[in-house]
Amino acid sequence: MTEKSSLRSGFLLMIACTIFTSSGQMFWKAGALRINFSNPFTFFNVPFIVGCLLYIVGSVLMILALKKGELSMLYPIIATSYVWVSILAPFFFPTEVMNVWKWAGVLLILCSICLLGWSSSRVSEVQGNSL
Amino acid sequence: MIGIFIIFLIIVGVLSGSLAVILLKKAASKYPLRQLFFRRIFWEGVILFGLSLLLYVVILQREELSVVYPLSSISYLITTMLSVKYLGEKMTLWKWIALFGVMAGVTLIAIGS
Repeated sequence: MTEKSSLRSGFLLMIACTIFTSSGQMFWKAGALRINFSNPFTFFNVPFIVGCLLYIVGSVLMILALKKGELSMLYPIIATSYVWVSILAPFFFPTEVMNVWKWAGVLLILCSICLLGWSSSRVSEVQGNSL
Repeated sequence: MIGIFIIFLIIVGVLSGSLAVILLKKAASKYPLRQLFFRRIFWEGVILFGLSLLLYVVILQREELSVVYPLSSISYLITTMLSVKYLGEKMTLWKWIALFGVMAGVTLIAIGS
């Protein structure tokens, strides 16, 4: 596998990871409301457990991604989960609404992640040429 | 007003989360997948990762999203600094700009929340 296609698969695995962890987060939100810390059995509610399973799948995808590229490129991609949550949460939680601030944040995160991917692939090109 | 206890929890959560991915990255690049389960460094990473997630849930129960998000986005900065120091990764001006763009974006979402 070439350096560049390895970077690309790391990037895509990380995006897939955030889709799982952000759906996990939304299940957690639903589940967390049912948790009462003085009664540990309240941890075993369906949304919370589904959220945990989604988180585990997301974490496995993250481990796979970590094999493919540098942490300084891959880790900030986790912020795309804010994009998914902001866009999807209003459909599931009536109290969550989209507004100008959130749209601006979503756009800025997406542009920054693209910039990060682009500049990281340039770093690897320069390093590849110098070898 | 945000309490000192919550700030303490956020600091521990951010540090353990950042340290966790450094350990996981080290483990993932050093060992093949099927060996990971038998490596100490992998489980240290998993335990720290779990701790940071647990703290995140506790913090979210007590604080507003608009406060927690920007503070937790500091983890991107700390993780990047740790990966330069401990993993020998190279940063460029564009990568720094992108990193601060991500953090600013998270802060904007927090303002809107």
